[in-house]
Amino acid sequence: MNPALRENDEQERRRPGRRVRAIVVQSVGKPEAVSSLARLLLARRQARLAEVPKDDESRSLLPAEQ
Amino acid sequence: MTNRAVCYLRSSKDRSDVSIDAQRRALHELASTRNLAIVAEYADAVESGKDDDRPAFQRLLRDLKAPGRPWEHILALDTARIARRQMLALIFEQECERAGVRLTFRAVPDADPITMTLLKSILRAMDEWHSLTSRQKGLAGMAENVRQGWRAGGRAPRGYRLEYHATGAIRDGQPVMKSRLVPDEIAHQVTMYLRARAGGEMRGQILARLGLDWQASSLNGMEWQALTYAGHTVWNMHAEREGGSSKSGTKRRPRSEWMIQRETHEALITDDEAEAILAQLERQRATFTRQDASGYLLTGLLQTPDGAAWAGDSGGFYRVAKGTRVAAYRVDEAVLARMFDDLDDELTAAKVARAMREALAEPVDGRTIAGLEKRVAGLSHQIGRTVDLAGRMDDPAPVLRRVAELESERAGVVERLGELRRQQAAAQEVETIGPAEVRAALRTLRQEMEGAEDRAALRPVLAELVERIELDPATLDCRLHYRLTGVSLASRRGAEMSPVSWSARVMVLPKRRKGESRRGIGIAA
Repeated sequence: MNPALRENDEQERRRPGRRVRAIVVQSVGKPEAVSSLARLLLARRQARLAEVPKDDESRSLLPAEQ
Repeated sequence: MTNRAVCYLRSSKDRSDVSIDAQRRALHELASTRNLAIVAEYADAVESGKDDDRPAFQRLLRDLKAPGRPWEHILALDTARIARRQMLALIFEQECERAGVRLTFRAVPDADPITMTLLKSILRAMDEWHSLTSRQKGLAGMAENVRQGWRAGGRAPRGYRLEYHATGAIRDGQPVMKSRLVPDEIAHQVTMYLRARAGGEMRGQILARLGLDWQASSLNGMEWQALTYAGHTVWNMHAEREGGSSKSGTKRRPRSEWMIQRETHEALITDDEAEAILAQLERQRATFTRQDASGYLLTGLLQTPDGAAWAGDSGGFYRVAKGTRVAAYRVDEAVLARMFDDLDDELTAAKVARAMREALAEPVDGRTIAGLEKRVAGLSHQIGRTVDLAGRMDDPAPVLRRVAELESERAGVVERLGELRRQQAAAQEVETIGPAEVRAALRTLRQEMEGAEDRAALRPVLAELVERIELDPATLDCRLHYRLTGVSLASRRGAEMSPVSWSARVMVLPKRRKGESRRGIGIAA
């Protein structure tokens, strides 16, 4: 949701005299089919691993101290 | 002026271009005859010289202007290494003059300054002419290739591989090879995926159902190639690009401009299926907005206890029937909080850890890596020897082309080696993951997703994990029904799940009138 719209909605719900009902979620059963979740977590780990700078083929031939 | 120099090396994809190794050797020879010491090199492998968007060239420009630069000469093979556009070459030369750096070309003979200016101008004009004419010739050649049913270049799309054929022609002593697409070992999976897409099923749902781990970001491009999957070669599809983005502002040209050569290779889907996929993409493109991308996480899953679907509207609300709506973020956040609470459990985390190990590809064989490392060393040795041979020949061009081929092969092997090493590292890392790490990762994911604008990454997760979510419009009681085991085929949703449909639904909704917001919230809250 657009942040401005969200702010409007929250202000609307905070208005005096306004009856706000919370959304309460109950679950039926347990999380079983987790392979997509596993793939997502795996992809996030691998993305972090891949954040190593790449060698772009250019290298300095100068000694390190220079 | 000191005697310290750097070399700039560039080679393009062009088969007749000079290889990096050959350029390096030539410039080292030049340096020794001029009594210069080469202290660094800047190399752009496989980069075109038509613009300055080359990593090493950009670094060279930066270093050229940097204070305390430890060199005062730049060596390059010829003016074309710097740029094939006259304007770019001139600007670069001016920058060198300003910085007090001397630019020396190996292929430009020493002469008096007036003759040098004339020579350089002629060379630069020729470079630009070469670049423009080779592009024109290349495009004409590609068009002719397509007409003859050959691939116009580029990688094979997923589900196909390239099969090379000798055309019988010989160019520069080498047989001319052209490629065609042939189905590979995952072609049947691609067919199943595309058929399901043509039937309107959601991407994430198909991936989960078929157990595919394809990157979600690769699917849009794959679907745009629907005609290729129907057995036709399509060319002139992408708009011309400049400076990293399309000149026209859209990635693809209108369909009327595509060049299509029919029945050039084996089809994986029918024409009708391809047209259905393209029609969906066109509709999606017409109605796609930022709101579509960021909101409505639960569309397709969210329904009333009576089974009526809640749909996302154009203002960030889920809506059912007339006037009944609830702010999407409220439902999304409540459902995600419940889901993450349910996942934060030792047994579930152990199940996720196991699934992560299973999701990895086959373990990488260390012998394969050792074999590839040996191959890289062998190719490097062969390249060195071939360059030596070229140095002793009067006409080294054919041998240098062989060097370019070997370098290209070595680059391919190095790339594959890197990929295998990454896979091996990932496999070793995943072996150490237990329930505690999974729970920590889930908590991080939860934090990132709380209040986030874009939760698209969670869509496939929800599609697989959750059977349906019931939200009562009168009481706002919400029940999250998990799937019992895996994803059953019977649970496949119809067209109401597809993003195309909900985008279309957004179009037919009446616009919000003044005061409607209060009424909508009033009913829902």
